Amino acid sequence: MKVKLGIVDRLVYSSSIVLIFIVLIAASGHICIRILKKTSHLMVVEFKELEKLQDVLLAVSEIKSPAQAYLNNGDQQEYITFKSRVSAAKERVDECLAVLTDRHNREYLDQLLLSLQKVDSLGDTLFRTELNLKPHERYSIFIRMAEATMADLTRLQGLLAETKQEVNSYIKTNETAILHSTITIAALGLLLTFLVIYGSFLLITRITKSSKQLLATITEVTQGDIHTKVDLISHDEFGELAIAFNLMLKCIDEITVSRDHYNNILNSMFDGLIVINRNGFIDSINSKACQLLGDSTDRLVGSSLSEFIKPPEHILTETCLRNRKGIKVPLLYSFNDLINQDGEMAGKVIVMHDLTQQKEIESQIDQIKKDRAIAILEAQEKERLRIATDLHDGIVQMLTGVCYSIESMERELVCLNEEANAKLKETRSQVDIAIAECRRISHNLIPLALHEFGLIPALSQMVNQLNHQYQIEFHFQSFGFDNRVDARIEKVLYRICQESVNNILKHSQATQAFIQLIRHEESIVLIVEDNGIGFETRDHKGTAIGIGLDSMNERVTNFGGVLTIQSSANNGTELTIELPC
Amino acid sequence: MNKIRILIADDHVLILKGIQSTLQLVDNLEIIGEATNGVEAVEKALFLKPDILLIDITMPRLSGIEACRQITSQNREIKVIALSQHEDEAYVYQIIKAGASGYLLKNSTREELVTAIKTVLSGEKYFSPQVSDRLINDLFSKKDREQSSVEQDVHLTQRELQIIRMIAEDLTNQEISERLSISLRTTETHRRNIMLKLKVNSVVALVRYAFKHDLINPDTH
Repeated sequence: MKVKLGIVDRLVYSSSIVLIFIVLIAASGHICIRILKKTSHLMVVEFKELEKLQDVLLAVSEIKSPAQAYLNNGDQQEYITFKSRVSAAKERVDECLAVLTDRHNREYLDQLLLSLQKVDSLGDTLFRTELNLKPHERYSIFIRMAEATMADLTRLQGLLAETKQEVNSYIKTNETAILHSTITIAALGLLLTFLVIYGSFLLITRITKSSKQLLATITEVTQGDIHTKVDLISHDEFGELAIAFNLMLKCIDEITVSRDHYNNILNSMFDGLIVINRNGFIDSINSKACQLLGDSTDRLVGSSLSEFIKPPEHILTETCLRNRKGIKVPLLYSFNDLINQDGEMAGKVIVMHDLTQQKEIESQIDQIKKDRAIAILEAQEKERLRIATDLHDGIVQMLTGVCYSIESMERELVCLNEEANAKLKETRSQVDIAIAECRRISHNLIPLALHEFGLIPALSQMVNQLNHQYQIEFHFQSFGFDNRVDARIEKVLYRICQESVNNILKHSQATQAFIQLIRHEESIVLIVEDNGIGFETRDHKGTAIGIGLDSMNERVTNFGGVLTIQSSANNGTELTIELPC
Repeated sequence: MNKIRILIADDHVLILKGIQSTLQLVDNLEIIGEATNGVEAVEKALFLKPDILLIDITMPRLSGIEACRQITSQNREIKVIALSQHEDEAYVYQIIKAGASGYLLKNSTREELVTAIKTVLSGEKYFSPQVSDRLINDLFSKKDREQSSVEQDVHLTQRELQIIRMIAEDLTNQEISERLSISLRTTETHRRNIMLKLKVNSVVALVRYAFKHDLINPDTH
């Protein structure tokens, strides 16, 4: 949009109007002055006329006095006076004629001149001595002269009055002119003042309105409504400003939209993202990170990250943090320098990868593995039991049957042949050996007593056999076993005991060993202690090691139990196994 | 003189016939019946009232041990001799507990069988030589234990003694764990084990026990 009428233009137009008005006022003043000047000039002329007429009047009125004096004293000197006075009067009339404007009737003065001529001639007659006029004749001449002058005077008076009237009319015109011009100027002045006030009011209103509108929009923007817009205020600079402002808002909106876009991306990320400043305080944080740290953005921004995690030693570190809700969260996180435009380190960017699901799956897999291992062990034990039972109840029974057959043969053949009898006896003893072997194999596979009567009889039997077979003194004690426990637990504990006993026999050089079983409400504890040479439970790396303990540990772990080894060189060995039941 | 009336119970026909043929030629013996499972054995024993019942331990429907218990509890006159393939003394104990008077391995000779029957009829017990050896071993080891005092009988491990001393020093589980570099859970397990083994319910009782048995002073150990 183009500015049609800017504020400057408006001001220029307004000023022009004001200027015109001022010119008008000046013009009217000037006209007034002109009028005044003209009238005053005319008045001066009139006053001059008046003065001359007065002079004429005086001169005319003085003419008859020498004649009168002559009449009285007959002095010829008076004639000179008379003559000079007449000529003076004539001069005055001439002067007056020179001054008198055309508006007056000049005939009066011409008549006056004629009259003066007549008076002059009458005077000549009067003063002529050689005529010897009689007094009454002289008087009558004088009367005629006086009458003439009187008539002249009357005419002059008329002329004077006329002039005076003219002067008055001029004064009146003057007054009228002054009045009119005053009114005009005052009116113009008032109009101008009004216009200026009105114009300024309009301008100020416009500016105020526009700025108010802009201010309102700016307030809206600061309050976060970025999508607002200034309505087109006017077609002036404010309009331009509004358009520019709208354009700016649009630009901001576009930029902001892209920021929102990035925010949306960051907040939709699977990984947590945190930016900390140089002092280690959280500057910004995305929603996943908030979720991981277990608090709201408002509360997390500004708090120290060291509350949750420490800067890692490696680029990627796996940890388990305890968040604000007290929940442990396993995660993989990285620390990276945040470099600003000037290439300076402005803080750190931390990316946290949530491992909860992974760990859950891992633990599920682990559980499945354990279950599988248990199932395999179970199957193995079952198979062993089956073979042991088959041996015992099948082959051994059959062999026993063979024994009976041999015995009956013995009875039948006893008298026949000494040699045959000896052979039968030998056969019988071989069958007995076979039976014993079968029993041994069966027992080694699994003691049927364990299956039949449970852990305690089986273990006490095992200890008895050990004491019978070996020099090491084995002791077995059980605590709290009133009933049999789960068959799987029985088997696994029996196997662990077998393994421990084997270890003791092979490595310990012990003279005494104690096997103890303790039944708690929710678990069974097996303690195997010997007074042998012991071993270092930790290698140089600090990890636990054991002689043949790995498979045992695996077995225990699969059943959700804990195996602890307490041993040191020449200090015996103490195995504690706790299994849940 | 009346013949000795014998009832045989075994699920293996081969064995059944074998024993029959073995005992047939012996004077004064009369086999009055056979049973091939536990239930039948009980029924026939109670009905026929034999002098001697030769019973297999592993039988279908009802084990020899259970059948023996039922028979002897109802008729004390019937002498029961277990005829078993098991050398394990656990079986011996179980069937003796159930009221049997003798224990024979199946591959015993006829002479042994006859001896057993006669011994049992005279009111004594009879065990196969292989079995009696084991029983004597067990007896000796039990005797060993009885020689020591009843309370000392409970063996405490080195670790348990350490922990008892620390408990007596009024250390918490946490402190004990730290001192022994073991997990808190392990300490708690040890502690529970000790309490259960010594049949004490409180730390006071435990400490009292420890003082009584001079467990506190490490010099004595």
